[in-house]
Amino acid sequence: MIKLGEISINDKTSLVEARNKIRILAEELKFGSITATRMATTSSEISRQMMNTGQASSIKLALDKRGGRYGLVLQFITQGRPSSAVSIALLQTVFDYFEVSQIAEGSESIKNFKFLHDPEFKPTAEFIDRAMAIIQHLTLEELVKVVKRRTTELEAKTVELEQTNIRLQEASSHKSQFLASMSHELRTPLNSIIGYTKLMLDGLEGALNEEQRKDLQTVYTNSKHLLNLINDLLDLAKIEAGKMVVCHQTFTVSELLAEVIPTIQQLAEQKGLHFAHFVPPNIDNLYADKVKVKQVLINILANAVKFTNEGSVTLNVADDDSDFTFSVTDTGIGIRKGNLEMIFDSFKQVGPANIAGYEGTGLGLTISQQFIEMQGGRIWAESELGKGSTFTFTLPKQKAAAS
Amino acid sequence: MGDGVEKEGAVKKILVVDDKEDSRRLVRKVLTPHGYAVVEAASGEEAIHMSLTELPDLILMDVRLPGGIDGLEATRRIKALSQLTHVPILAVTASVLPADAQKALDAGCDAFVRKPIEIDELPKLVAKHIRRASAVN
Repeated sequence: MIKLGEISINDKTSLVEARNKIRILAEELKFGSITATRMATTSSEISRQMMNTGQASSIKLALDKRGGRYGLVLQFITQGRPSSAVSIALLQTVFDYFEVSQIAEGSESIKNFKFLHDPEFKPTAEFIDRAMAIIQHLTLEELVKVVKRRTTELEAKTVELEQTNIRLQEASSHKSQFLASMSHELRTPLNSIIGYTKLMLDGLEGALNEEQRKDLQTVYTNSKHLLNLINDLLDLAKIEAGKMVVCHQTFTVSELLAEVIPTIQQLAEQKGLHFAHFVPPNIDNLYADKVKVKQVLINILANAVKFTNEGSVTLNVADDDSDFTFSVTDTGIGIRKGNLEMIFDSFKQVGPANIAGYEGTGLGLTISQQFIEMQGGRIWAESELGKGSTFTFTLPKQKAAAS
Repeated sequence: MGDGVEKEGAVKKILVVDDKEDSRRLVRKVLTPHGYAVVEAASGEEAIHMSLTELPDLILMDVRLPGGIDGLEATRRIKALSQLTHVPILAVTASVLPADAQKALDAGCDAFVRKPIEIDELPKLVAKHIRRASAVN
């Protein structure tokens, strides 16, 4: 509720004044002159009846919302029981709602509400100032003072906001700096862990027995996983800091696939899965961020392989006048309906959650979604539990700026 | 195997610059089986000195080095020497910032290797840059 002011009624003069103020305010609120006049005369009539009970009274004015729409609130407050003395019927003819209540011992309120004609009305600071000025009956000089005070306040606020903005930018830059050096510090020991483990696995330090090989493979897989996690976290932090830049370039679908298919083919073969991809012969060239598109494609293809134990993984690429569509279908474990919405959220791996063999950082799809949306595309998933999933993303066709 | 030995039998020499002994040892263990001779420097200053005395065929230069001369400064100084200007220098860094990659290239590095190093890829990259440098000369 936005309080606009209060008018005291204690004599005939104040009654006339109240009538004028309410009429002017009602006109300001675009009620139309007939409604404004009726509202004003009804209010002064009610006030007169209340005054006749011999008690001091007042009218509080405010703006309030009912069902998302603004209306004017006129609240009559008096000692005694005005509801028995005043003509309720009169109020009903003017207002949309009214409510009689006891606000204190021996004091009663009649609160009336009338919707503004304009359902879209939103009170601005200037409007509230003007309304308050009407009710308080400010002189022009006083009005100027109010405006000046508000201007000063606004100027102070602006300076404050600018300072806050600078502080936030500094904090964000410190955070990025911290993440960059953290990532550097974490990669340095990982260089030794991953490097020496690989050296031994490759047999460069002598033959390994089966048990040693298995143990070292575990070290290697887990250290690679840790590295992926660091990479993903860094990506996500960059996205959140708004530092992720989209670099568009022109490239062909086959160029893109040449960098993706061998890795996926190998992963699929390791699990005995059939991997196929279909691309129409005359597909247009892409104009997009190749690195990011590649990362997304690898992510959803690797996911498909990861969550499929038998059958196939299929990539379909297509285009129409406006978009490219990449979709990856698998015959894997699938995703429960209720979980489809959640899979793009950070750190959520759903389905038969967190079972051994399905480890991941849980950030891949979040990053994929961000990368695709950054380029004006969409990504979504369809799935049936136990039958498989289809992940699809689109990229709008954009032409390199002809300059 | 044997990328470092040319048909004439001249063994290619690689200078590995890193302040951490285990990082240097790792690169040595990765490159030696490919027939390279590996020499090591632990600071920027030492790197410049050894470039002149050892005349390596390629330098793997860690960017972040303690002391006054970091990897970028060492690269600038080595590239400024006429007898060494043709020696390919690969910057090695754990940084993922594109700005750092650019700085390395601006300093005169021929390429950029990210830590953790891919030990299957490193010998190929080294061989490629040595081939390219000898083709130019």
